[in-house]
Amino acid sequence: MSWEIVIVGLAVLGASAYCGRLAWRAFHGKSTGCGCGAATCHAAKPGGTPRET
Amino acid sequence: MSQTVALVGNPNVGKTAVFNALTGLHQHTGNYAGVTVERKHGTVRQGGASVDLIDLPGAYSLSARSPDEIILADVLLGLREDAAPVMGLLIVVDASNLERNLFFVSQLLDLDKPSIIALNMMDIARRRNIAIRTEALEAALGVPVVPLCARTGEGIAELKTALLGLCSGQAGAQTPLPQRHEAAAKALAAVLETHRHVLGRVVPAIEALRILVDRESYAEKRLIGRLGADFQDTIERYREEARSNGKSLAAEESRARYAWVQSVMADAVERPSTRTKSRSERIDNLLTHRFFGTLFFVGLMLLIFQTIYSWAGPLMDLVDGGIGSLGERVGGLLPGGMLQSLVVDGIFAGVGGVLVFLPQILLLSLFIALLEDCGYMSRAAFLMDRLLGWCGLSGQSFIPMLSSFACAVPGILATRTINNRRDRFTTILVAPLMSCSARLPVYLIMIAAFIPEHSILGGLIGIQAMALFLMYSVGVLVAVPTAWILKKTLFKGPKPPFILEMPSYKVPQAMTVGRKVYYEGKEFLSRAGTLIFAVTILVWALAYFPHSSTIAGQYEAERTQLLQSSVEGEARELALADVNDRENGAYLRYSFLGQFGNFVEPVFHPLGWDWRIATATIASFPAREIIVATLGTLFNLGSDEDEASLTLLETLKAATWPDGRPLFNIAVAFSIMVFFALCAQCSATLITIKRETGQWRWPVLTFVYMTGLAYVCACITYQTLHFAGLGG
Repeated sequence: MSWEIVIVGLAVLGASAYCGRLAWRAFHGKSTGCGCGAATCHAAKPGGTPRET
Repeated sequence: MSQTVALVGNPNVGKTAVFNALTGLHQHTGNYAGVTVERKHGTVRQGGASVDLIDLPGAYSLSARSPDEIILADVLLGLREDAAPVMGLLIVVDASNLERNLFFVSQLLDLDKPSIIALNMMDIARRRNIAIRTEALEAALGVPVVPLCARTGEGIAELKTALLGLCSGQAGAQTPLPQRHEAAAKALAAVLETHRHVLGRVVPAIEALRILVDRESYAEKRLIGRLGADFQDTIERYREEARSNGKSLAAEESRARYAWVQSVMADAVERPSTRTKSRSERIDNLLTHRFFGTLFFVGLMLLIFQTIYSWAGPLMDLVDGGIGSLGERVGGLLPGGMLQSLVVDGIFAGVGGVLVFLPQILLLSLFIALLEDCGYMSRAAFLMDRLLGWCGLSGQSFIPMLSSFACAVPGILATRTINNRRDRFTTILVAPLMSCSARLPVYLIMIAAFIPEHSILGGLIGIQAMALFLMYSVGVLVAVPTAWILKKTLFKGPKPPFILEMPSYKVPQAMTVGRKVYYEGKEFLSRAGTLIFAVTILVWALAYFPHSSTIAGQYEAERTQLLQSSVEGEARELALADVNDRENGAYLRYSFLGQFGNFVEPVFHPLGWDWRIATATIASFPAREIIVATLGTLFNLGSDEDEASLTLLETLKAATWPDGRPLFNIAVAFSIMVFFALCAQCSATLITIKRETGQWRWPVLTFVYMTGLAYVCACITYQTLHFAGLGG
């Protein structure tokens, strides 16, 4: 059915675009590309307890 | 325009608490240009007046070696263009540990800037019967002293008032250093004055003193970099002038400063004459003991892993059941075909399979947060110092490694406090070997499916918990020889000294622990809802298409033939199910992913894996948890529709080779776990290594050595267990 193809096509395209964007941002140093929301990426505090924010 | 005051002090004296209490919401965070050291500044306001406060990294002295210490020294000397010139210092000290803190204070006062001493943690000092005469301390240091407790807010208002008048205040007392040191520093500064056009600035005597005293420091290297290697001889000549009877300049400086500290302490501080051992010290007698401490550590870890199995089981079943029934209902609403397959085999079997592990992730992070907050983790670092010393590292490297048990990204960031580049890079390269929380789902599913549920010690510890403990130990056991090899080859150098503060034991704060568990859970769910969700859709598409009509026609003809035959009843149902199974298997085998899997299968054959495990492993190189989702999708796609309702555990147990032999067994399970324990399947970690080292070659080296090590160790594991009769 055509509407099934459209939905599946959009899902696959969306997933590809998302993964591509993550990889692009990671390669250009804008994020680590893990998709975790970056909470731990800012968690290391110089000097003090490492995981304290 | 506001003037800038630097907030400085030793690590763990509550600088951040003071900064937060003074600035409230008026603060900003970023990085210093070119380095990944956090730059935090805020504004202190009272009435119409304001002061800009800049929070600098904690340090024990002005000897700059680590990236943190270099930033600290440069900002204080006004050498960074991205930081405003510092007009005054707010020095935070720990009132319960004043003697040690005053060493750094004596160096900071030598900078000749208006200063205030914030005497933090007064509550702990009072509890320990330490009496501090503030007026006497002010007289000895020559600067205002404000007693406070940042945690409760005591003294913060007084500190704010003192801070706003700071820049018009005076500099503190100077520590009397050996005459020769000061003379040599002034002479070197005078020589450097003649090189002003090359250096682009005047080098003050205090910086010249640090260049002389701190051998091979950043300041010395920077100077040599500008003036050429020949200038080293000039520095050495002045070092010789400063030296007396061949004694080390650093040792002489320490002696002079500690003599000054003792005189200040004698005037201003009164401690109880008879010192009884505190409760923490009594507990430490056991917990840091070479034998009993290690035994306690191993026992505690085993107990935690056992609890993860015992407590998380019912919760896991609940989540699993919920996701399973939701998947069936949603699948039932959709017409059979491509979209139903995407939702049921792709999204529910894939992402749902990962979500099942949320209870275990939360429990593990709860235990880690409890151990961190009660102060036990510093004792674990102390115990590890001996083990790490064997491979040329110190307990200083253990703290980043410990962080890596939750996630390697903050672990690698935490290496910024390691001042020696060789040790920092060695730690960065071995930190990803620690078993992070992303590996937990892989361990749990393999152990739950293929390790028997027997227990020992009267049912206290199960074999499954021991297997999990073993997998967590693999990373540490491999990291030690790896670090040893790196320290003997790429990063040759002596074992660094290690200072570790043992904080007093305390009851963990529910808020702190709760926040850590919340963030861990949030991250896990975020990843499941973003990266894993997206990769699952892509894996499903690659495993579903081209969905050849030739295969459909071939099996449809077989079904029609069967329906027209004389076979009836249960025998017909079984025969139809067999046709369906073979049809699904054929679709999967001739899918894009199946063809790729068949191509790479021979490479993974020595590990006991079929093409589905190999493909799922390759798909999980961006992030480890993806394997669970991919296994869920691949094994569901290749099975009959009735089997789609089985849990992932049951599906894996039922999986077979084409000749009917069970695919999974203890040997295969361990080979998968060992591979995942050692392989660098995390793009975030590799990107972080690039950001922290500034070069691509280090993440490439990490990826190559970890993946090679994972393959070899997984192969040895499988072949050994297979030979021992556990391979089927």
